[in-house]
Amino acid sequence: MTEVLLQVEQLTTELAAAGSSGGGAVRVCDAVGFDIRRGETLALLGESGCGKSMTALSLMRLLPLSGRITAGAVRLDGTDLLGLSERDMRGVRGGRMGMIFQEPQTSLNPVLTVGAQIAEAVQLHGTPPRGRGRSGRWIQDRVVELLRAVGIPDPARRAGEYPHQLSGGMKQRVMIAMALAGDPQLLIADEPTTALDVTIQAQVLQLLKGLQQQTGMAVLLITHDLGVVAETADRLAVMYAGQIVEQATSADFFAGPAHPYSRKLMESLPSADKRHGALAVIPGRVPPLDRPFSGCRFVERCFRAMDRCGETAPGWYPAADTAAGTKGSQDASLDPATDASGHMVRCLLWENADVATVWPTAARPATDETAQPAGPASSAVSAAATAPRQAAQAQRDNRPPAEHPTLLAARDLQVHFPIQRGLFRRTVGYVKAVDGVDLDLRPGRTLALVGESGCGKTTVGKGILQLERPTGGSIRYNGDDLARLGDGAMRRHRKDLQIIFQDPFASMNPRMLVGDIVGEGLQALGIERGRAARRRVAELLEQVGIGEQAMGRYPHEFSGGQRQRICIARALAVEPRIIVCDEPTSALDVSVQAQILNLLKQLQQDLGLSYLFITHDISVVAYLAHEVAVMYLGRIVERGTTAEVLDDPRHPYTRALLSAVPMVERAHRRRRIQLDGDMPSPSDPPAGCHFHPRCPEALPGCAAAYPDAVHLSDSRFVRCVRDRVPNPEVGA
Amino acid sequence: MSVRLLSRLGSAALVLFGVCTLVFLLIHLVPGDPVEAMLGESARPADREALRQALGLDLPLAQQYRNYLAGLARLDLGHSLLDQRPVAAVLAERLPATVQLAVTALLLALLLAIPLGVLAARKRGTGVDAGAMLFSLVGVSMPNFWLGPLLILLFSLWLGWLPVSGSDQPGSLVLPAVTLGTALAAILARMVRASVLEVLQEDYIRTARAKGLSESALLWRHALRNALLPVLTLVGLQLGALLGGAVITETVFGWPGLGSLLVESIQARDYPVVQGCVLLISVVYVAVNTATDLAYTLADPRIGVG
Repeated sequence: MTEVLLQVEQLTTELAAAGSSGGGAVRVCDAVGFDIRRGETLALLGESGCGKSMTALSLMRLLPLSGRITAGAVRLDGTDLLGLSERDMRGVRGGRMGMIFQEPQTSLNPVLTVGAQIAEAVQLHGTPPRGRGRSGRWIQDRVVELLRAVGIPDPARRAGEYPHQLSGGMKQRVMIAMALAGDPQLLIADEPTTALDVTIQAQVLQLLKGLQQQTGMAVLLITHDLGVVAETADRLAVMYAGQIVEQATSADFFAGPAHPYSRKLMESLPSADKRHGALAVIPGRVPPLDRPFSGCRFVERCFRAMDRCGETAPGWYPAADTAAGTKGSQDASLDPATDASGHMVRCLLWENADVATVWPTAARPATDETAQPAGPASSAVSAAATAPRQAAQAQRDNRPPAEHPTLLAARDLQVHFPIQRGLFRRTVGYVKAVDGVDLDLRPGRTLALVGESGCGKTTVGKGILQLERPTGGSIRYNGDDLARLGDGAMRRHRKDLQIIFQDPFASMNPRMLVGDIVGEGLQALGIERGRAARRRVAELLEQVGIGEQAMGRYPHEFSGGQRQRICIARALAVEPRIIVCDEPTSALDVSVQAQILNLLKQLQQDLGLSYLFITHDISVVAYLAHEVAVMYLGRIVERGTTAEVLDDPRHPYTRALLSAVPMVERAHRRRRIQLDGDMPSPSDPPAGCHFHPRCPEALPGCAAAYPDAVHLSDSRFVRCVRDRVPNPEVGA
Repeated sequence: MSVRLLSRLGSAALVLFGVCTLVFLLIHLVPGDPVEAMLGESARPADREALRQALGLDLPLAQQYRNYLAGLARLDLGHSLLDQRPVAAVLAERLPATVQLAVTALLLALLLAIPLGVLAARKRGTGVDAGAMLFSLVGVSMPNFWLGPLLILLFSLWLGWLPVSGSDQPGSLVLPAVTLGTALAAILARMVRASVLEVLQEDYIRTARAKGLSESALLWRHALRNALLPVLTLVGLQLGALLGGAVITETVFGWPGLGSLLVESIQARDYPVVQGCVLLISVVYVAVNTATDLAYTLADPRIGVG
């Protein structure tokens, strides 16, 4: 067996609770224990607030001022890290143990060159080669070497640049280079790719994997993304409410998660298989951590809770396939790490039981609607997803798009922003954020607009709503061209066109009551007033599952998912026909995302709403959308029904994008098509097809002209020269 | 970079033109007849007429304005009514003393404020922090016309270490500079503290810590430069004000700078000198602020691109 590198035992960390007097400490990590072996990747998986980042910061002893490690032991290769003096600990940080963070945009010092920032780490932890004396040259050489190792082109020049001159993916590479400077035995990566686009995420994960093979370092990967875990981790530990609740090898876990929480988490992932039913939801929210627990922490939200669960704190039990092995151990300190390959779970269901008794229906979590265990406490939405309705919906879904009437049609939509320079603000060019987009929205249907950040998808949404005035093209709606309407005339259509934003925390005025926020549109557009308006607001809040008592409360009293429901109620208030959903679930945890997606789907069925769903998340598209349009640098490169595009992507960009998405299910994984470099600036797009410099299948003619749309079916077109002429390769 | 420089200089020039015009109009804003205000009510009509002609006040306003601008172009600001010396020469004589005092006071303030602010931020919530902030509160609250005499009383009259006033003895710069620098140090220390505290919350500080840097390297190398950016603006504004003549401090200590010149010439109703003073103070103010703005470009690499 490989040797243990990092040993964490009974690690307990508390944060002094802000605002509360009298020692109300929040126990963010409670007796956390795990091992990491040399060269392996352990993923710490959990939703926001479960304590995974705090665990990482505890290992590095980098807790915020209010944080304190109250118990436990952390041993790195035999060194007791918690016993080290601060001075000695500094030698470990960035040396034997490196760390990279979630947000590369803010994690580098803006006023120092990236070379200087890496050089600091080299100087602290590197060893000068013999015979080079005191010359500082070796530091510079090492910096360039590190930048080259993380795949930064032209490293000598890049070393002299400042962080703002680098793209997000590049910055994360610089962060990795910095962490590598000390030749770490362990790299802690705290959500290293969460802020990056999927194709860039694929690059960075690939890089980490390669470096790990070269250097033999171990990686502690902290993430909320099951797909990333499935593709990169050797083993994983699931955290819930400050505790690890399940540990297993990746293979064992994805073959059959043992803890009810893990199972629900898997079931709440959207995917194409689940599109005709509601997603599983976990009712309620994570319990507050400032009080002691008597029983299991998940009991209030668990669909398998037993009477005992409330009183007896579960110990560790093996979640073995067979009834063999040590059963019935009530010893809470039983260390799952002692059994290296063991699948261990902290749940009373597994006491004296094996997989056949705990999950009799299937070892794998349900992936289709027939096995959908809609818990009694789950929201009204999932309960309402009844079989006849699903059948009818499936039938509707399968009709070709052309059979649905068009509600809104955008043709050659352009939104160009002038670039102004100099004393007299002369216009020296245009950022062509949206450059000739055609799309149709149909009643009761969802069009997903997919693309990476900066491709112009949000601007399309704003252009349609006239929040950003188009500089060209037309938007036909109800006999009018919205792009040519004056503000007054546009007001008549405002009621029909609504929007839901990405960040439910920032999109509500914190000083307005929820009732006023939801009711504002009714008053502004003169739809309802006074008592009638209040009744309508109460109805709406009921409809989105919040309840009318929310009217007298302020937004900060609600969780992220609840706030997004309120935002949906606000959009619904004026009885719109079209809602632009701009990444409405990207800021939310998976289980909460499931609730919002269920709600949106339900509302569409009940009210016949048309959605323009702007997203970068392919699994959400697969679950929710009827049609998909893929955008790259201001233009739609491919459009078709969801099945057409996702099952048989034709444009090389679509293929690369889909292949970059980390998948939980091995069977769904595609051969990775690695895209090099970053998306070019929309102010200076490459000549011809904008994608050709990064395209793995580019032909010599691609730089000549932007390819015209080739219609492959009534619903489908691709803008790629490879589809213009019949090409045996493409068909294959 | 050069575009930014040009546009900044362009807007500075516009401001200066406006200032010149206002200063020109200053003499016409005096209630009643400016000549009468200068000479007093008892002056003879012939003397008034002579002064009016000497100052060119008998000409039409547009003509006066043209003459005034033409004079400015030759650095001719007119002549002092007291001794007929050119105003430019009078100003040139007083400016160095003011620059000397202002720069000394500013350096003193920075030397005190930066370590104090950083220390307070680092020892946040401790006695050190409370002490530094108490000094800051007292420093801001103490008016110069009170602190100045107090310092004279202590160091000049009782201890006899330093001269009471003037600028001709060694050590005579100390008391005015301390008086002027104290309030500035107090404001700056507060600002440095707040700014450092804010920067210490940034993600890149966490990155630097994760690299294994010591707390002092973190503070001086990573936090301070970012923290001083907003402080720089304040320093610029304050230096402008100091160079504009610390009227009260210069008067208290009899320091022969622009501030005391302004007070003297207002008392003597020497209008051309008052005009010259106001003009010079404005020019200095605008110049310093423009320079501060441009200094930002050097301190923060994000500015100045594009």
